[in-house]
Amino acid sequence: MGIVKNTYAFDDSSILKLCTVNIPNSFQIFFQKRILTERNYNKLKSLIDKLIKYDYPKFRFVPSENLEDNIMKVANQILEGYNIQMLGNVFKVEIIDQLIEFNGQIRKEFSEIVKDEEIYGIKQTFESNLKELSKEDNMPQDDDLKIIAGYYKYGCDGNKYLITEDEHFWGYSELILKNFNIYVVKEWECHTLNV
Amino acid sequence: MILSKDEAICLILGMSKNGEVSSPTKLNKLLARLNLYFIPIDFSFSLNKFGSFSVDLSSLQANDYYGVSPYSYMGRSVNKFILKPKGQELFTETIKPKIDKILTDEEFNSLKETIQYLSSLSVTEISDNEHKKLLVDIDDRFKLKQKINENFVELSDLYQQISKLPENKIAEIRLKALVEYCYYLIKYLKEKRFKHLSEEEYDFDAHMFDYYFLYNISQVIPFLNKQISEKEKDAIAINKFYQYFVNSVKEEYPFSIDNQNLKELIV
Repeated sequence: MGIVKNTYAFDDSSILKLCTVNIPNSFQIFFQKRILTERNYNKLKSLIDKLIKYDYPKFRFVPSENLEDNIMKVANQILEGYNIQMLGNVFKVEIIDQLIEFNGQIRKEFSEIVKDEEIYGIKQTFESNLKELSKEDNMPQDDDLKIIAGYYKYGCDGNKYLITEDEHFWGYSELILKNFNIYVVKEWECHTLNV
Repeated sequence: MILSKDEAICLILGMSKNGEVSSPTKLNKLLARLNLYFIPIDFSFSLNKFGSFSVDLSSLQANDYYGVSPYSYMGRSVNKFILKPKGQELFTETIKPKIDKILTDEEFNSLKETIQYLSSLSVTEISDNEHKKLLVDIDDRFKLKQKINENFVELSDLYQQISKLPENKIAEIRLKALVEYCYYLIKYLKEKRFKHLSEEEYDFDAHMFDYYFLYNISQVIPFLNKQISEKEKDAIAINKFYQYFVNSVKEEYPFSIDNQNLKELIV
């Protein structure tokens, strides 16, 4: 009997957080280090290393929408808590440019799961089970639903895991597991997964 | 984004007549000209009596991308540079995609026509009025100071406005960063670099980027003024100017994000 393999898929923001940003020389005085990462970097990297060790492919969802928004969001998260006392906008753009370059390289390392445009039924499931989230909008966006629809259709003998920091997913983790057989893993807990 | 030395040379050769440039001096002039098109290249230029000069070009050897072929001209041996097939491949697969991020097709074609035309001229003809344009000559010191002051005042106004700009798109953040960078750069040129420039002496061994930046800042100010009030930002042009000012220089130039003492020049 062959080994049943699980599937591990990451949303775009989580993939971007694998980027290590080189701090230009002039800004290093504000950080006392040369490399900057998002706070969940080590946890994500730990899972990625496990997948590589056991020869598991890692997946992302295509087509990639909202890339610009995701890049800006991750850049802001990387900068969180720091006080840059000169050329703050320039430093942010330097992070953005490194994220853009990183995205161009890293995407080739991920296998693809195609999002599904047919979301009518899924939308209804969510609409009739709306929850109070801390986000402004309780209802997942269409792009989130396309990810669930595509992943649901994706053939896999083992378990399907979705690693994400988006509350639109983890806020509905029970609903998503029950109806679409997808385990939602909070990004900051992903290092605890046994591969 | 910056073009490496080989990429910059292949860009020039790829756009030149017959894919060749007839001397190191001419190659130097054509590479220097890329600065006036806001294309960041990994060549440092200093100033001598005849214009901008890059020491990096004096010992250029043939490689996989271009050949160096000696020929006799007026009794002396001169090196000609010729693009090789691998250099053409580099042009198409690496250089052009980089250029596409900062120039529109129209701008690229205009640059190509200019380089093609300039490559058929003599070195003296290429130099043309570059010194006059960049206000390098002693006779132009008054104009130089006037230009610095004008640019400083205009950029101070623009800098005051950027805190009100939204940050919903990368182009908007990049525009703020561009204005911020240009403001501190012109402040550096005014208060540090050109403050004690002698009225009588030629600025030998100056870093040529002092003059390129001053000239290019004055070129970009009308664009910045327009973009600040535009709803839809011109992302390609903003990126072009940003990449040029921020990435053209490395730690050997004082006002560079790669200089670990930059803060001392700003605060």
